[in-house]
Amino acid sequence: MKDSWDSGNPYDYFMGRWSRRVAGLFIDWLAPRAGLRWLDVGCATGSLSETIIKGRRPAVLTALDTSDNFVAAAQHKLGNRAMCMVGDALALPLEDASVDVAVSGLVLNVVPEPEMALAEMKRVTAHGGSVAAYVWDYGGRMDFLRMFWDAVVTLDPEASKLHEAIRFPNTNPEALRSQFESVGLKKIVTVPIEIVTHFCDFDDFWKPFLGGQGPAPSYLQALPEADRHTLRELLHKRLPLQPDGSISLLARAWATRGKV
Amino acid sequence: MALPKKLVQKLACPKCQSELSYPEADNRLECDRCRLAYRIDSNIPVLLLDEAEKMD
Repeated sequence: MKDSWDSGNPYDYFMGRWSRRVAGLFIDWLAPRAGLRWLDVGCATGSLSETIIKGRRPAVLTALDTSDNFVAAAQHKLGNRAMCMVGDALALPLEDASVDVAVSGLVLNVVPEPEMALAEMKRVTAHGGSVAAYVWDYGGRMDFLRMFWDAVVTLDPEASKLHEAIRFPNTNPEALRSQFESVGLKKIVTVPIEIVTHFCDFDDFWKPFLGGQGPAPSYLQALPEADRHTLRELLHKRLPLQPDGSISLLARAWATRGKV
Repeated sequence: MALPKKLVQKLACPKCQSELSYPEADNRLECDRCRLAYRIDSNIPVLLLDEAEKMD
């Protein structure tokens, strides 16, 4: 099945409200000074870029993604505060040593060759600059996605190959460190970034999955109506509903940085 | 609307990393070394090798 990563708003509704919060914590952790030249690789709709602009007042921010729909949404959101382009993480269209900080948010796991993407980020980063990335902890505490896929696999064991914990096995500190080391980055540090994903009721949890954008919503969209209903009921039964009907789950990302 | 000069100056060909030229009238970026042209859609450069056009 082909993932639908390619549209702006439904994807923002599904993941944006969480990825924005992680972006803020990631930038706080990186804590670079203001006035630097930044690159955002795999910018999607521009959440991380927007956080950089607000918090770190970059001299220049360049953002790129392979999806023209995403880039158009990012450029619309960021206006003249960023320079957005359609580009490939594996062949960055930038000169050597042309930025001070190259970052990538929630993307490294979907890049076909993450080491090559990191090597490219290192190439375009000036000596003494930083390369940093973060990915959801799909195999661990990215709870709301993991619980979705766990329920899918309970009902359809053959769907296990679609489970993001299986699809993205390298979203852990050991694998990330190994990838950063393999391209010669120095002073590598990995930390967890954790947020609570709070859903005011079950519908607040379920409806974003109906947007059709991203792997889980794409799967759900392709399911027959009866199977979709069964999955909904199983999740409703399994999720830890509070007395007021709300649901609070942990979402963890692993962030890694290295020096050039 | 033309691309900002400071953007164009830092761009490089994704294939060979050479600097790109920007003939505004053609609304595209060109790599003279690879003889490839990259289109610009709604003021957004599309710097993908797969979508580059061979120049004569």
